[in-house]
Amino acid sequence: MMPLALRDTFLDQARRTPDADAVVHGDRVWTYRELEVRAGRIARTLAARGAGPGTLVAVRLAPGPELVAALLAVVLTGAGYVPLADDDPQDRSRHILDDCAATLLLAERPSDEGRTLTLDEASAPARPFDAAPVRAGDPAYVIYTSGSSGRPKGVLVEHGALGAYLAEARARYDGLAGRTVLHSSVSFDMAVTSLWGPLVSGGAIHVLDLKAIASGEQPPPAATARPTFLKVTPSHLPLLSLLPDPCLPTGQLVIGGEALTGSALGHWRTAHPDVTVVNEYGPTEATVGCCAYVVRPGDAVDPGAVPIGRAFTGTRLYVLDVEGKPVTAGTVGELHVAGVQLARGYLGRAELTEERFVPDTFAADGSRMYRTGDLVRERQDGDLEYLGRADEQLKVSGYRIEPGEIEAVLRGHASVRDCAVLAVGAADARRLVAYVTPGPGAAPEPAALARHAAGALPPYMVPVVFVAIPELPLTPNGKLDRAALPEPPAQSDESGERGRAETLLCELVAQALGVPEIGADADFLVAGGSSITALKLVAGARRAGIRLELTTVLRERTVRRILAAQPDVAPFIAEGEPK
Amino acid sequence: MSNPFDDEDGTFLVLRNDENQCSLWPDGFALPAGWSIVHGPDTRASCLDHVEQTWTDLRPRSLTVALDGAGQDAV
Repeated sequence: MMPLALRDTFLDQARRTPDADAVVHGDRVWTYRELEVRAGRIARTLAARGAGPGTLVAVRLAPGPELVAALLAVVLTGAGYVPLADDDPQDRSRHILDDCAATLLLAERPSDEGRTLTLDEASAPARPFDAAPVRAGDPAYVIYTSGSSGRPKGVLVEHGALGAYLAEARARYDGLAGRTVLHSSVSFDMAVTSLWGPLVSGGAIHVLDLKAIASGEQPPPAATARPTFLKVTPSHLPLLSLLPDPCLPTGQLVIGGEALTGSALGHWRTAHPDVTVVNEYGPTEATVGCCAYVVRPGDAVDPGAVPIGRAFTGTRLYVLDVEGKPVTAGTVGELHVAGVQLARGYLGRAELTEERFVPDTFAADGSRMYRTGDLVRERQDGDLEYLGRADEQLKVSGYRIEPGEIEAVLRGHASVRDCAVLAVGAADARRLVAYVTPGPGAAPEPAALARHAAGALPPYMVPVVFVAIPELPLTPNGKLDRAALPEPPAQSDESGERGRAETLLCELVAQALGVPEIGADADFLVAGGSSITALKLVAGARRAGIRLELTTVLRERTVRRILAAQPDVAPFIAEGEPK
Repeated sequence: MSNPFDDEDGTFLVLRNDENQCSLWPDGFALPAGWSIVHGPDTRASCLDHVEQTWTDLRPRSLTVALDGAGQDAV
């Protein structure tokens, strides 16, 4: 399959169907022509300021048509974009900006940094400009993922690799030619499918805040134009059962980002038997997705692991033992990915790149393969099945997390000598637990550590439970002995801010259920609650100034566990300021 | 058995291909076609250090050659 050149493919599409919808957000609709004009204005300013093939432009904007136009503008100049999460702590954003040395930053608000441009500043009068040619080896984007050494690392994906993925996505997912929901942050590569997939397929991007719609904060979109394509993580599946049809796809539901089971899919498939479900697998280092398993309407699915299927065109997958030799079918091995979708490597990190991108001994032509660290096995029918990680990398709610990055931040706190971060709990109720050993004369305070972590890490990387222990247990060969770590306490701290938060939430749950009172450990579903009760709770909490995540409520189901999963709620109640 | 690629105490080589890309390679593994040894056998730390010092431009050679031809300076 020929890789798509993103810029040319979009421009061709805009010429062919200038009046087709390109981006929809609330009442606003931009056609392909409008999107091209708006992006072109920004691109002209960016190019005048030095953006072009081989350079990088960072983008930190709220979700919406302007974000799409800004990212497209970077693509039009031929530069690579570096998408920053708009809810990242300042420290992390600053590190990423320094690390990637972006020529420019497109942001909501002006800043004293010389390279920052707001969209207003960047919108030049519409006049054509000469865009330099883009080569397959030029950077398309740099997306940062958690780094085990304590700092996030930037995966540099070239235009050739992105184009190969987009060609594959366009051919496999015909829903992209209709209407695609864009709901997740573009700072993760999962969103590449829903951002560029429609624009190379003649489809429309529909920007929706699914959580806000499910909780009643925002009205659902009009029923006249249903989406045809939606991509989510398995952690999003409970949310889908709460969404009205105008948010849900009629063509394909693509699921990626973490292990998927048939039982997690049960509800969706019963409610939407005509929609094709695709389990797409791929590390950021191999550009979004490099293999997939398709569940067609009517296909039977086992309750256990859903396979990740077979390689995309141009990708080679090897299941290898620790000596780098292929294992027989049915045997567990580490998945290695080779072919057209490999990233260039980690930006500015030669030593990390040479560790993970190694000679493809099977191609034997000097090309490389990526050691994913994912354990898989080949089933009898030839499909691959994902089994877990070979290293410490964690997946919590679909987010890829290196515990080493959290540990490095915690070790930076004066009260902590050493620490270990683990994910505890079943797949659908997984939480981060930090075991900390105190520094000399220090007594680590959970609330202080949580605040410290939240100042340097994105919300999903802040541990929810802190356990102080005198020493980290070690195995005879000096490695952390995970099995010897104490169970994290099931009971949370009753005193202080946590106690007050708990009392308030218990009252809110009781109100939502219509009962006089309910305990902190009572499962609200068992107590007669439903997804509607959960919506009422989220709405009630919002009126009280507390922002609860609907997915967390549905997953955790007791007040104590909800608080443990959303540690930001308690300190926030203590301070009493609405978020 | 632990992975020889991740062995902190192992002996390694640094390999390089025609695109000027480097890879850490456990000493004793068969040398893959298309790659040549540029450093080692040596400790893991020394090999990583060598790569950090010498592989300062991660762009594949085919790209830099094309850019040089076009007189462009870029990452």
